[in-house]
Amino acid sequence: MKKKILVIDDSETIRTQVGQLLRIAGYEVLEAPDGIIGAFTIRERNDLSLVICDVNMPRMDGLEMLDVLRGQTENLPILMLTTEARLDKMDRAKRAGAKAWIIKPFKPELLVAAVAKLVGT
Amino acid sequence: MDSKDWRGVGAMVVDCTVRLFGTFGAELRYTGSPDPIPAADQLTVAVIGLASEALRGSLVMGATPKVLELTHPLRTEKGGHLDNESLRDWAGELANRLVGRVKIQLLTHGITIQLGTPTTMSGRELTLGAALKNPECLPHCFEIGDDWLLVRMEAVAHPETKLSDDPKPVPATDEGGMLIF
Repeated sequence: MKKKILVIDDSETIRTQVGQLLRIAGYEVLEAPDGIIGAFTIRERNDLSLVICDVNMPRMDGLEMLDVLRGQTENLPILMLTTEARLDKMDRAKRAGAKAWIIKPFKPELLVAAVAKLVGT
Repeated sequence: MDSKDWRGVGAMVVDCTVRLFGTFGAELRYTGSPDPIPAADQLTVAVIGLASEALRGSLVMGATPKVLELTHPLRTEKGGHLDNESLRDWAGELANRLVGRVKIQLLTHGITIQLGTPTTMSGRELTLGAALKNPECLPHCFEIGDDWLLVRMEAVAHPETKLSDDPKPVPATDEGGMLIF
């Protein structure tokens, strides 16, 4: 069975781009356009292997989503994929449970390698 | 902020724009601050608000479809012309990346800003109006081939806000970089 990855980003272009990369790499991909729908999807499903999440999004940003889910995602790795490059933001994400941080623009092979490492394939 | 500082902010915007598009292999040619501001037959515009105690305003980016298509990550997959929705979405993402770069530059000069999320629109005969609240904030025009891009960061500053003359590096990671926690 293919491992399922949730991609949360307000840009449909980025969701599509990341989704294409991951599907080619053999994963099943789900999408969410903001942190509210992302958090809802994470809580509703127990079959996700990884979450890839933007930071700057409308309604609920990625760091707020991590705070909302704090303590509920110990076994679900979360990779932040964002333009945000400040270390204090990364530290906040780390303390809230994120496992990795990639800064856009990203190299496709780097993203796929990071995903493989985080989902253990 | 005095005129020198506003020129400094303008220079940051220009530098960040050229570097951002350079990451997509698009070499922009900076042509200065046009007067009058040109109108395009078709223009896609993205606006992102920014705010802090020091500075508040917005960054506006307007681009012709070709400029957006040149940098669009799905251009080869979709082929031909991208639809308006795709172009607006990508304009928002580009503006987000651009203002993120400007934010880091401002931070090195001691100014912190928080960013909103992009609002985008597209239409015919659109043009960016002159800066209403701060005439120091000039629009910056860039050309690539026969197409062009306009960027303007319009803001008002707290009376005590000024750019530090001694920029300090901000703890940050390079684009494309990855951290595994």
